[in-house]
Amino acid sequence: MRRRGLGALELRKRQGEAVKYNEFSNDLAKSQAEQFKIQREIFKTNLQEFARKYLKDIRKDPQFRMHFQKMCSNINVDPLASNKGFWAELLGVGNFYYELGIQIIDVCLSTRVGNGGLLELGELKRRLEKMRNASGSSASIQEISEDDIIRSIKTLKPLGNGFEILQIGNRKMVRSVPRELNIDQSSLLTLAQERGYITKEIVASSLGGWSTERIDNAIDNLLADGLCWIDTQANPHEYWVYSFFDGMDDENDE
Amino acid sequence: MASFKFPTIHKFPPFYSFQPTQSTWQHQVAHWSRIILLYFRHYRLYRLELSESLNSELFYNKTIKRRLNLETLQAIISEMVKEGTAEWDPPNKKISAIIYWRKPEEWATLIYNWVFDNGMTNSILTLYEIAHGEITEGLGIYAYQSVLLKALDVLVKRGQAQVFQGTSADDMGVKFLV
Repeated sequence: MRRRGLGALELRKRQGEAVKYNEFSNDLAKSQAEQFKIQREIFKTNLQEFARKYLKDIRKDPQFRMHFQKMCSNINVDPLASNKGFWAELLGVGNFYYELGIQIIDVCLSTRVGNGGLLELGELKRRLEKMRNASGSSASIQEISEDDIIRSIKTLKPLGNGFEILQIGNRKMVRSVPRELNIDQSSLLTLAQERGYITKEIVASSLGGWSTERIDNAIDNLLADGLCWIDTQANPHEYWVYSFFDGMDDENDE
Repeated sequence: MASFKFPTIHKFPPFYSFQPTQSTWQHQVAHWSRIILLYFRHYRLYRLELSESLNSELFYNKTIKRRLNLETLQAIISEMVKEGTAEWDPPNKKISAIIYWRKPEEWATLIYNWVFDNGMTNSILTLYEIAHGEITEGLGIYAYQSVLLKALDVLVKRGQAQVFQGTSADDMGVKFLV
């Protein structure tokens, strides 16, 4: 039996269809992209209108501000991207975060000697609020949330190494020293969260397999970095994490 | 008198042990010296007997069973001497010290202002009268003699007082000038 090949005519017809399909799909994609662009523009315009309308709430209410930030980032609009940008000018949010950033630096540096450059996020927030309440007139006081602080710290990134947020156990800690906490140090800090301190015995029994040298070395590092204080009146010696001690420094900045 | 309220760090167990890390030690000294000054000011105290004081609530926290030891306290006071907020008395023996919770310059200004406000300039007062009389009562303070002498020194240098030596320190006369 002779296999029937495609006729030349048939072939040409199919090629033509393929071209047409291609054209059609290109057109479709183009128009969809157009459509999307238009929609995005509309959304952006709406967002701007929304922002204008709720300007006060965005400035005042940290919860509202967080949701607004999320909405913006969904469409790749970053109100913080430029200080001169439309958003920053409209909302003044750029300034808000930069100002907060400076205050964060201030608090972190002034507490660094005691805590070795590791400050709990909640504690940082309390100190910031105190500072802002003291310096601003009542009209300019804006509430801040932990989300604001985290955003603000991200805007400090271009200033180089230093500020970073670490998750240690269930606490968020702000690190303001330009050095990495090594894995051993982090493990010890996580362990210290339970009691506020550790002893070499606790480390040995909780983190199985650590040699005496490794424990000594990691603890010496914590002491040398100023993250821990030693209590030689306890038997065995206890190593206390300064920034885990509740209420520290509260009364010390009148 | 209301009892002194200690800051939170006074409950921090390692606060009573000497901290080997230099930066941590500086922080520890700063806090101790601040607490000592506030405590002395609160109770109007001037003289610190080191060994004795180690049993007081200032350096011994019974709740957490932690106590500062003598060497650490001496090191802290030595730092305060450098800062000008304390003075070994007698000098060179680290057994007792005068705590200046107000600097001699501040005392000087307080005393002079009181004398001026009460129209006692140009009259001569003895040191005893100043230390135990109306002035210190008026100021609500009992001025420790050596603190007082320092303050008078300041006034003499400022040209606001003139001193006449008597047979004893108490007889020393002071004339406040306008």
